[in-house]
Amino acid sequence: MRRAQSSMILIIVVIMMFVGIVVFLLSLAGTVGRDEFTPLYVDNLLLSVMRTDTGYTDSRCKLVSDLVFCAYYTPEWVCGEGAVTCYDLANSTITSYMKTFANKTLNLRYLFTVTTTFVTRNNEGEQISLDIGEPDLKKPRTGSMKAVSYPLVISKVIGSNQYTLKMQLIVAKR
Amino acid sequence: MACEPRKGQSEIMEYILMIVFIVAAIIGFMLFLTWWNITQIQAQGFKDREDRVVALAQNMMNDYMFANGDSVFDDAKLTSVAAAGIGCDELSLIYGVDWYVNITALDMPMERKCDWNGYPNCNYWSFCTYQEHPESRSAYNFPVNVYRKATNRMSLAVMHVEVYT
Repeated sequence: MRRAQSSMILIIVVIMMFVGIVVFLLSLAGTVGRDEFTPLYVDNLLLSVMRTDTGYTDSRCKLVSDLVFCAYYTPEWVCGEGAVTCYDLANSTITSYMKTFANKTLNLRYLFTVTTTFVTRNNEGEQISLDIGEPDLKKPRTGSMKAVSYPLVISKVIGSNQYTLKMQLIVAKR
Repeated sequence: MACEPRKGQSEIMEYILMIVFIVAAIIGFMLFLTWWNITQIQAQGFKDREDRVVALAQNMMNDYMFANGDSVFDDAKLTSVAAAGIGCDELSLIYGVDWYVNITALDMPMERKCDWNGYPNCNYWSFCTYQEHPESRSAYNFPVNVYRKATNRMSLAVMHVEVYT
């Protein structure tokens, strides 16, 4: 009877040892993977979109980054002869580029967000905001792995005032 | 006295069962370790390929043979490398073998391959040979810019990078 008991204990100890080793190896395998593509992608996407020419020669609307600044500083400014305001043009241009890449690459969810050191309002008195994409990506937890770009800062001195915009892009796989 | 042989037999059976169980456990564990090793090697191979795609893209984005630095390709440089007969053999000396890259500027509705006759009214450059059926491949698209020398404009572009094994 005692021999049978000690055999049982031995079997259980052996099983526990094997299970322990298996769990350890599997947990080790889980920590090996790391993603180098997404940070490079998200930084490049923000930077590339911001320095792309819009086709307008007006200095306030020449690059996409100029448009973003214009959208906050003078949102009603009309770019060229198309009768499109800075704000609308910035919105449509960034949306179009982001959608192009979101579909072309990984089927991404994205949020382009801007924080400013100043507050501007449109003709209706509403505060200007150029957050484009899915707002829930701003929340700390959204259920999927997300990558946040390095902030891209635009700073302009107009008169005696300094105006600073900080742009960031957040992407997550669908 | 009559119970002694039966007891001996049951002890032998117990030993045999123990040995069978331990041998089965060891074989099972060895099979698991083999499977785990193969999976890890495959995962490492996949990761190495992914890392190579990212490294290749970063190197090309900052190589003054193609770009003006910081992910801005120069259309004149791209055309001269793509069209002037600098082949995959030469590029392989710098970037290694088994890869394919193409860059498409998004400022035209259709893709037009760049050569000396088409430049600057073109928007597509390719380097090395696309493989239809490699053993395995990793591919990514990267957002970049292409500087249009003729019009002094910056265009948004997609850099497609593939690595084969």
